Amino acid sequence: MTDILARTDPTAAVETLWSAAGLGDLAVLESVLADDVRWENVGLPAVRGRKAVLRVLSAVNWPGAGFGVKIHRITATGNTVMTERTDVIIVGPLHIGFWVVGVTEHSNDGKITLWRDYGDVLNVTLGFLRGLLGIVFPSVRPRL
Amino acid sequence: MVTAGSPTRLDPGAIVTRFLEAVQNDDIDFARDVLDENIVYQNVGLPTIHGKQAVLRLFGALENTSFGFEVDVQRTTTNGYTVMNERYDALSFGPLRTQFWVCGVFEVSERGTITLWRDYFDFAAVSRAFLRGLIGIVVPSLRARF
Repeated sequence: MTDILARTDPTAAVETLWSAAGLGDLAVLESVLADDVRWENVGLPAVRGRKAVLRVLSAVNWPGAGFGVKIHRITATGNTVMTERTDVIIVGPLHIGFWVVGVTEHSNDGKITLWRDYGDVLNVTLGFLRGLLGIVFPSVRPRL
Repeated sequence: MVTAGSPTRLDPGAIVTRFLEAVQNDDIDFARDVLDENIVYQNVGLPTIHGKQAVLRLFGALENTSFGFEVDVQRTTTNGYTVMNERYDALSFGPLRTQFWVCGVFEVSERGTITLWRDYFDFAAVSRAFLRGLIGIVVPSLRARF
C-alpha cells in the first residue's frame, strides 16, 4: 500500500528521484521516470526519453564521481512539483556546488514526464572556481 | 495592517500572484498591505533588502519614471505557507525591454503577509535578454513579448 502511495504522489516521486540520484541508484531512477520524459537544463539542449536520460545519469557511478543534493523547499500543485535545492557535482577531489530550482510535471501515476532544472551560469562558474580552490583546501568545499 | 479587500481572504499562492500583479500595475496600496514589516527581499546574487520600508522606497523611486515591470506567471506551487513560482519577468525602461525567466520562492505569514521574497535568475540569460532589448530599440519587431 505504502509502495503504491509513494508512486502515485508527485512530491514523493521527486524526493525519490533525488535520493536515488545521491545514491547513484539507476534502477530507482528508472522507476520514477516516464518513458517519454523530457529533461531540460534551461539554457542547454533538452534530453528526450528515459533511455537517453539514464545514459547521462549513469555518469554518477563513474569511479570518483558522485552527486549530492539538499532539498530546501518542495511545493506542489496537482501534477506539478517545484524544488529549491543545492546540488553538488563531485568529480574526484573537485566538488562543485550551486543552487537549482526544479520544475517537474507528472503523469497521473506519478511518473516524471517533464524534468526542468533552472540554474545560473555565473553561480555555477563561481561554484566551479570554489571547487578548484577546494581541491587544495578541502575546508572550502561546499557542504550540504 | 491588512485592510478589507483583504489579502487574508486569499490563499498563499493567490496572495503572491496578486502581489506581483500589484507591482506590475503600480498598485502600491496592495503592496503596502501585503508586505510584512520584516520582509526579506532577495535577488539571489545581489544584495538582500530588509524590511517593508526599504522595499517600498525602491518601488517609490521607480514610480513616475519610465521604468516598467511586467510579470507572466507560468506555474505556481505551494506547500502550506510556502509558495514557488516559475515565471517570466520583463523590465522595461522606455523602449528598452528586457524579458527573462525567474523562479520565485515566497513565505507567507498566517496573517497573509509576505515575509520572504526570493527571486532566482540566470545572469547569462538576463544579459542576453538585455542585448536583445538593445536591438529591439532599433527593430521593434524583435522585442520580446509574453
